[in-house]
Amino acid sequence: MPKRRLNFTKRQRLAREDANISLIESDSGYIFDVVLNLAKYDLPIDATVFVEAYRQTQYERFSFGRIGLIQKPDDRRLTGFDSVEGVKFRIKVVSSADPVGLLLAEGDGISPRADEVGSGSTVSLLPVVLQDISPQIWSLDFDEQQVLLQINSTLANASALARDKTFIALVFPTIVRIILNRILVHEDYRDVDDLEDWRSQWLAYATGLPGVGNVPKDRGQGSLDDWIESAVDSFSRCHQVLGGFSDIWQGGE
Amino acid sequence: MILRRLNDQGIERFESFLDAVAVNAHEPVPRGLLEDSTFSDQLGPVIRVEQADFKNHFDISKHLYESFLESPGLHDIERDRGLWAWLSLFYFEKLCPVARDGSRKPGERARWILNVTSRRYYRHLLAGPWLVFRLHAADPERAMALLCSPMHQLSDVYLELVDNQKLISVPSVVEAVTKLYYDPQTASLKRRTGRDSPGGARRFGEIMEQFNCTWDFHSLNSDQIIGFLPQEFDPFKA
Repeated sequence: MPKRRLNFTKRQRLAREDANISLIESDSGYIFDVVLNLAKYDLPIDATVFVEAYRQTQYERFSFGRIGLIQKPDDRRLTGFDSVEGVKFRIKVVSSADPVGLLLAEGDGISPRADEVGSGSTVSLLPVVLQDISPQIWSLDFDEQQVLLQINSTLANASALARDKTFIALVFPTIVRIILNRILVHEDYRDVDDLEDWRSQWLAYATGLPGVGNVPKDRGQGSLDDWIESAVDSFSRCHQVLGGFSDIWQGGE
Repeated sequence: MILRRLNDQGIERFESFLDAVAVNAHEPVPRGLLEDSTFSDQLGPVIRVEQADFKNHFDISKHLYESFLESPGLHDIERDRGLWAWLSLFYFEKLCPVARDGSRKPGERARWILNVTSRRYYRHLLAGPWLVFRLHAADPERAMALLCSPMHQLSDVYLELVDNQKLISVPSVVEAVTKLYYDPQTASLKRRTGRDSPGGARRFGEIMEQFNCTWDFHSLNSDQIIGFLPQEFDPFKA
């Protein structure tokens, strides 16, 4: 079941558009930059600002000075990540006066701007990461902030697999089914409006597929299964998985 | 012995052995795989590992950490299934001792073969504690509550903490856990730190998860964190 975050301390939520993060590829790896627009929030000038980068269990934290004087650290290289695919950011504004350490404002699950990530890559609904997940070929990894598609890094040209027509035809409809089932059944989550939440993003995507319609209000297992199947059908039609696969599959001869 | 890496065939043989030894504790440990080039490959750098009297995860993790540190040519150690499988076989007797009833209980596969598809890789008997040691290498004693168990055991305190990235990476939280649950007199965990005990590891994790919504743990010291804990933790605060 999803965890509820109760806000007893009037912690402010930073909007995504107020933390504009970009990634730049350099000879020494990826460097992030962030443009913070915190003036409209009622925050004390001596409160400290931190930027945290994370993915799965990997994590790095950077101090950005104080609200009254934001100071970007000189070294903003992401050294703790072997790739930047799926890396998210969290902005924290923390009280430096009594009570020290109180979280005054937070923005979480922030993706870097798509046009600034790497060369030609995009921030997608399903980031792909390469890992040695032997003996499996692919796997989904769910955490609180996103779902990642893991591809076995020991495969030749592993990074191309997620774009391969056969793989897409055989695997992606199943991925859609697993993710929607996870959101609707396992996590009992229905909100399509909170587009900062990966689950809402997926539900919004699914409801936008032709002929799928809104998530059923009836929480019965049967109606959810039917809705998920209609989403998988629509996804398969949109991506022409059967036709694409038929072009490749020659009957196993 | 010089550290190598089990290849796919080696891992397959090792897994077959794990299945067999769970049924027959006298199944011979296939140590031959360790140096047989059919089943294991050389690493780039030369790294020596020892069979010493490691009393707990702290000792073995320290040995591995220092060994790897001296070999900068090794990359992505934390994802190297073959390397950790080799080490698991090398230290098998310590990781799976014969029980009083004469059996061996290797347990779930993730304890032996690194599973990087999920956070279960922390369940690997060697890689998991080594990751914790590395994370807190600046002052590894602060993680003693997580690393004081014998090599064949992963305590509830360890399992509860390592499952949560937001907690395990914070020095003050890990230090608070050691102050609460580790008894330096006996060099072991205090009693009743188990998952379901009042004030035990699971409750600590639950309460920290709630506080994490309100506090920036990195800005607090371990005593402040302990000060937040409710009465049920009082027996551990003494």
